[in-house]
Amino acid sequence: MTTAAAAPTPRRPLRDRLSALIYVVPGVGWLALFFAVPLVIVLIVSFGTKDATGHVSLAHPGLQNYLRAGRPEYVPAFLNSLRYAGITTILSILIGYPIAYWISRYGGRRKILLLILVMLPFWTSYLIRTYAWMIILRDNGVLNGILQSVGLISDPIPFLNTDFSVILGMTYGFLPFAILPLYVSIDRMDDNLVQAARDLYASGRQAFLHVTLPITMPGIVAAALLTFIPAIGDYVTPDLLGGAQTTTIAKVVQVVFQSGRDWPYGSALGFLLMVLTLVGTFAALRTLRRETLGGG
Amino acid sequence: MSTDHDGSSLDLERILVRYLAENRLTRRQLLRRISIVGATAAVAPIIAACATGGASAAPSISTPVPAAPSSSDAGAAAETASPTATPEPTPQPTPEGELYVYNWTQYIGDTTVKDFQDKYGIKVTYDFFDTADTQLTKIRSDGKGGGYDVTYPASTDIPGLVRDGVVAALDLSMISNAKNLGTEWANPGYDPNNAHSMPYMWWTTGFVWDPDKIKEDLTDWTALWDERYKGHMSMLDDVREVFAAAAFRLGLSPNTTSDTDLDAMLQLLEQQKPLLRTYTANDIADFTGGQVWLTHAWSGDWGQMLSDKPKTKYVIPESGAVRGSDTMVVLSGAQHPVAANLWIDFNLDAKVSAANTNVTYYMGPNAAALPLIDPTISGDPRINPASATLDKLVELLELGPDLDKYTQRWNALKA
Amino acid sequence: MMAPEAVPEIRLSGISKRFGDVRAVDDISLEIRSGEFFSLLGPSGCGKTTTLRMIGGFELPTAGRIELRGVDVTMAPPDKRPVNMVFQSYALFPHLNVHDNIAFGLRRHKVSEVEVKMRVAEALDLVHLGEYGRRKPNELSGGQQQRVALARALVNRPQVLLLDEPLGALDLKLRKSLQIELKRIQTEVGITFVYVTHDQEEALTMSDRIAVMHQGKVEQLGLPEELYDRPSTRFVADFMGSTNLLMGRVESVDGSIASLRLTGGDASRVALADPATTGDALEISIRPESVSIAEPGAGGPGSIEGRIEQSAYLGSSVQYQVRTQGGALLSIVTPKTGRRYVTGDDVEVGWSPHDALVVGVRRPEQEKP
Ligand SMILES: Nc1ncnc2c1ncn2[C@@H]1O[C@H](COP(=O)(O)OP(=O)(O)OP(=O)(O)O)[C@@H](O)[C@H]1O
Ligand SMILES: [Mg+2]
Repeated sequence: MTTAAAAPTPRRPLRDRLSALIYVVPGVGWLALFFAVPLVIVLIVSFGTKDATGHVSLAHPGLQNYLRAGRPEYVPAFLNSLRYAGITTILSILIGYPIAYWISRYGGRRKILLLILVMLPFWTSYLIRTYAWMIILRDNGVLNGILQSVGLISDPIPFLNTDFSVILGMTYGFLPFAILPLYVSIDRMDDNLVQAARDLYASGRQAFLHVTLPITMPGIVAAALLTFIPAIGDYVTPDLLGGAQTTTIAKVVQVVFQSGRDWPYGSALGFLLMVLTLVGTFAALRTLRRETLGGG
Repeated sequence: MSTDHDGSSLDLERILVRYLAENRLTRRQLLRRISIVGATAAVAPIIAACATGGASAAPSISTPVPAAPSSSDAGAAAETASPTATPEPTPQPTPEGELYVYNWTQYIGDTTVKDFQDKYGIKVTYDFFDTADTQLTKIRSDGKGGGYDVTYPASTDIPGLVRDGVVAALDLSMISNAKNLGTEWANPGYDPNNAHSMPYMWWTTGFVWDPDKIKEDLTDWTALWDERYKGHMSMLDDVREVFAAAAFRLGLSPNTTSDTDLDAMLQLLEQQKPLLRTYTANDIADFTGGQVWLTHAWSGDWGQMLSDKPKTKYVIPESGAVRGSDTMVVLSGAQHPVAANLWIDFNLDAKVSAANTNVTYYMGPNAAALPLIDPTISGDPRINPASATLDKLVELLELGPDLDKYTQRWNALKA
Repeated sequence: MMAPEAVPEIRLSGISKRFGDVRAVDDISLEIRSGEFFSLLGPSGCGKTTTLRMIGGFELPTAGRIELRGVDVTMAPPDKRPVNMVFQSYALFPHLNVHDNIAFGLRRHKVSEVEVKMRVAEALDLVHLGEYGRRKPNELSGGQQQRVALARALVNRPQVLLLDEPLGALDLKLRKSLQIELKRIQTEVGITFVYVTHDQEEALTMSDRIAVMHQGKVEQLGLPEELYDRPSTRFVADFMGSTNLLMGRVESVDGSIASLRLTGGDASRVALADPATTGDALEISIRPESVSIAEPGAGGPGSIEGRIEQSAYLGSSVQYQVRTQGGALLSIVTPKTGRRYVTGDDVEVGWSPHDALVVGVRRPEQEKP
């Protein structure tokens, strides 16, 4: 934990720096090829127009796609996306934190096994797992069947194709992404710190609030990012578990690409969504850092 | 040629899709099977079968024919598989060893793929799409078919696909079974002389309901706006079909491009949206899953629902409905054009065509197949309406750039 | 020994702690007086930390009872006990600066911010860290961190301060100076310190009383000089510093003095604290500085002949290793002012019977054939 603020180190010799570069090149190259290049293509396409046959034309590049991106009729879908991603993130952390905490503190020798269990759902295709949820949640599905057979309800409750099923499916899907960084930050924390807090008259709750929570905050932030960013663009879950009332911005982009065959417009929407997500994320990170780590 | 057709990154998914194709088990059937034996139990043997090369003939759940012993379609299929199928001249070109087919789910006979493989020794890779939008996006992505050899576009899409060079001309010398087509299909307006496409199945679009939940007899589109069924109704996830339903209610043409008409249709659909459970790409599963009592549906899908809910009713609405047909085409980028033409010819074989209909409940254009089709299917006026009824129905036309007027409103509606 | 009027600050009655099969602490009873500097001393794994943690409330005893000023706190959680702990690893909160670390306990007690400021400043002065309030723990040296940990506990003015090897991680010089500082602070604030260490020298210099622990039990409890001069067991004698341990059989007893025949044949005498009879096998301990050394023939009655095997100059004294005729190896420390011997010199060594301590007795019937 003690990383002494080092004095400015003298520049390494050029040869050292070059050989260090060799290890960086494959990673950077990979990123460039599979992340940056597609992104640049999307950006270029977003300035284009579609011709009569639906092909992308860059003959008259311009900002027209961006100018018509902020259509008021897309606002509800965008708000849906924000809401689903936000609630999913909060639920994932609320559910994931105790699980990660429990594994770290009481997992003992079985920690690795328990973490593998957390990852277990990944061994099956996400699509199949989502279908399984459809079978559980539909009106004559497993859940309604159980509720009916124990006499709790007479008519099936519409679980599927609702906000509930979308949020449930997304939380289920993204929970492991939250648990891992939470586990790492909790596990790295010195157990004695909590005991020290208890020793200094903090109740269990206060020790958690004043010590455990701030110290594991980096893990919470990482978990939030790893959940929120993919959740806001998630297409599969809202599409399969959602319904007529749960359209998300990803679905809008999909309709533009597919029904509308308007790739330039779709690219512009996608790019805007990404920029918005990034800006929002950085803004959130900044306020968070200011609040939890205090000024100075 | 890569086998990465749908861009899905998960190997398992690809294995699964291949398995489903090889065993003629569609996503819907898988769903049904999962619901019977549980997800893990349903998937485990699939994975195992895939791991061992997928050679084992896993049991595929066949769809029983209503009011007929379920062995009848199996018998028809078995007959098809026998080497006594219509003999044909050996084509001069040697077929390639592989074929990539891109089709709707649950839209082919149970043994058709296997029979074709057995007959020609061509390995078929069978991929699915669940909306026409997905299909068109994929095959237009590179302008020549996205890596597939054969696909099944709606007839109304043919002129555009031909014009844009996405589909290739057929080699009619290899498709001798074209002689089986009914006369009205021999020279259709969308594709003179069937130069680029062969008709596959035709259908009407109406709606189905569950008489256990809805006691009245429904006759027209207004039912899908009925507040009493709020939360238990679905429309198809298909822009043209949904707007067509509104057009019929308003007495407009479903091919209109007038902004005033379209705004009126949009307004009507916006009234409907809060009542809907889904815009569904999976009408059969939504309906049999119990959450939907009343759904916009294609005629053949109704037939498939009957296996789960035999009392299900279907109606071609009074105020008008869409009829349409799907075709088989060879894509211009096909790497296996000979096999592709053979595939189309094979599917026009009377017995194969009848077997396809007996499973999918969609009527084909094949006059020679008619005697081989289960009479409960061919005799049902809702699946096989009299031509007088059919004449009153409307076909959806390709709108070119005006399609934007629909998709923009569609997006606004769904958002 | 207890002052009759005082309720003990801490009373442990028969406490034990088991971890599975391990008896970490095994039936300990002791009393610690108010204002006392009390040390728990023992080798690694003997149960010191576990005992301390049970007093602090971090570990619940498997059996027994813990009282603070007569109040039973056996089951009370740490935050409900008027004691504070200085952890071996300091356990400073990394996200808080020095000031907020020290203020932590006060703020939990809802002390007003004005008073918090004052008392934190006081505590910082007490540990000579007045200027460091705004630093983060990772910007401090080990010794500074240790003092922050001390201030963080002391600022709460606890009845008892528990310290678990607080100087263990520091270098020798720093440790020595902090030992003095700790003792100064303890005298200044006048509260009870319970101090865990495995360093006998540290325990001897700082403590009012020491409990030597061994395998979960208290082996001996007493003043530092008692433990050093009159260890009651071989373990304590050995642990309290280098000593010569010899076995011998009683040949005769004259009043309180017994004559012994040591293993190997040397003759010796020892003063008996408890009665012994002829034939008893005794284990005796003689401190190196209690052994006298002389030239052959000058050793006086009762001395043993031997030869220097090794000599080492220790600065203010000289240490010799002497092999006796009977084969025993004795360690001897003499002031450097005396005569110097070299390896190979013949000498006579001896000690007063009162400097030889019996630390173990085996009666003949206990001996196995
Ligand atoms: N949480 C625990 N679980 C199991 N055994 C434990 C636990 N804590 C301590 N022990 C065992 O109890 C015994 C006493 O441990 P303790 O920490 O009290 O020793 P110590 O005297 O403080 O030693 P050291 O000087 O090495 O710190 C040891 O054998 C130790 O292994
Ligand atoms: Mg310890």
